[in-house]
Amino acid sequence: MLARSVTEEERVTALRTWLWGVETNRLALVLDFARPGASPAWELWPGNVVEAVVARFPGTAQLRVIVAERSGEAEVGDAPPAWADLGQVARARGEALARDPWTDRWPVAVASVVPEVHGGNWVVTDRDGRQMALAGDDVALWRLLASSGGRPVVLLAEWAGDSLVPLGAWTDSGMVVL
Amino acid sequence: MSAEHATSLWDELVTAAVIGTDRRPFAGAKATGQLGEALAGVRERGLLATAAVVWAYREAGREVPITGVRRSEAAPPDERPLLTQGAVRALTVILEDRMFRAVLDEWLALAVQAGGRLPGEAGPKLLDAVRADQRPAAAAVVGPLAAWLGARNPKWKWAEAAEAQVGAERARALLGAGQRPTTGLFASLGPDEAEAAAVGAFRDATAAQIGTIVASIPAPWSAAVTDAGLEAMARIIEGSDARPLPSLRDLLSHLALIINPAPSGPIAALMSSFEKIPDKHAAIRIFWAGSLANFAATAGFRASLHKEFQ
Repeated sequence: MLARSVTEEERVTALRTWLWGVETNRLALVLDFARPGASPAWELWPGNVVEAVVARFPGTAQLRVIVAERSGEAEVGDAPPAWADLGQVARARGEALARDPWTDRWPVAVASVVPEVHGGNWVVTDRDGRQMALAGDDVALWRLLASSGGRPVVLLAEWAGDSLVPLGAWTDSGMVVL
Repeated sequence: MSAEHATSLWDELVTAAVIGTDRRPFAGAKATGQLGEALAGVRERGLLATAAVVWAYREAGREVPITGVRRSEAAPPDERPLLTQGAVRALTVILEDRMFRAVLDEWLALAVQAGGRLPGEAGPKLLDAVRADQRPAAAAVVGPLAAWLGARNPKWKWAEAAEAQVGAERARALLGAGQRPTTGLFASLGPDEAEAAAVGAFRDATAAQIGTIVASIPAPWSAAVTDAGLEAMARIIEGSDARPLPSLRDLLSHLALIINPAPSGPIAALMSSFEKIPDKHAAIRIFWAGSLANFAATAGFRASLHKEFQ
């Protein structure tokens, strides 16, 4: 379980849970909808590992799944799998867009990045100096900055438009859900 | 077809869309290479279909260039062990629920005494919440990260100058201040007695139910849960005509609170004075219900807080 996000769509609230298949080495998305304002009932918690069989929805992207069968309890996992830099993230997103141009949000799990704020502009820099803007609400951004303290973290985010919306971070003290 | 060509093609498409195809019919886009192939594969050659292909081509080919921006310095390392998860959870409750805010002094004192480090991500909310007199303790619990954050957020500028260490004596003084009861009527209760009273009164109530009660207190009253306010209420009760009321239990269950059918001790004393309030003082009754819930929840919380730091 990598991260989760909530966005208010036109008439519903979309709840996205991003999963990484430890055995399949593939991304998966559990997409749920709720009435606006309803508090989401998350079954899967970021950073946890659970043994499950998922069923993929048809379509070219093959990203969306439902959890068909779960066995055993969720356990707290180690550092989440992550791309090594933002260039790899962009390539993976590019491949997904090439398969399905309707891919609007793309999960980002990227290692060794440092969040920073310069005069109100939020950015994240990877190991080689690639930089992307961060977007999101102030509380999440400051929490992310404080969880890092200027040291590299594994950033979990969604690529939306031109920026990354942070959802979590893996730090020295474990998973931080933003 | 280079990225620059795709960009200029995109700009042409935007211009064509702005002008409108009625005024200037769209003649199709010229492109070579992979983009040309992709466009050739689309049967519909109108503006929108072309724009869709060019958009996907550009997005899918996007790169994140190396800008070589130098990273700023990291916060000095903090070698202290982390505070326990329970202690951190308790802080979250204190900061999120106005009802428990009075316990913040006590939490700070316990955390300073424990000598643990607050996980970084919990720092901003604490720095936001503390009063001026609580700043040294907050800066000590957050550690060197506090000054680092202070350099980046004008709101926390004070943290750059805050004393990094809070001595044991100062912590004890804070603890004394924290243990000052929030309501005069319960001045004599220590954490253990408070816990017993709270458990007795609210055996089955969840934090959410107690929260519902407090949220239901009319605004002018909810702001007045102070010693002076409670003493004033007590005088009103003593002076009122002692007409029996619908029971407290009815009122509280109406407010989604389950109360112990046989309370004892200070809670029973408070309930009996509560039941003397006449009907016409509905607002006062609700206020009392809120205060009672407030007290019991806070007392139970304080008792559990001390256990988290043991």
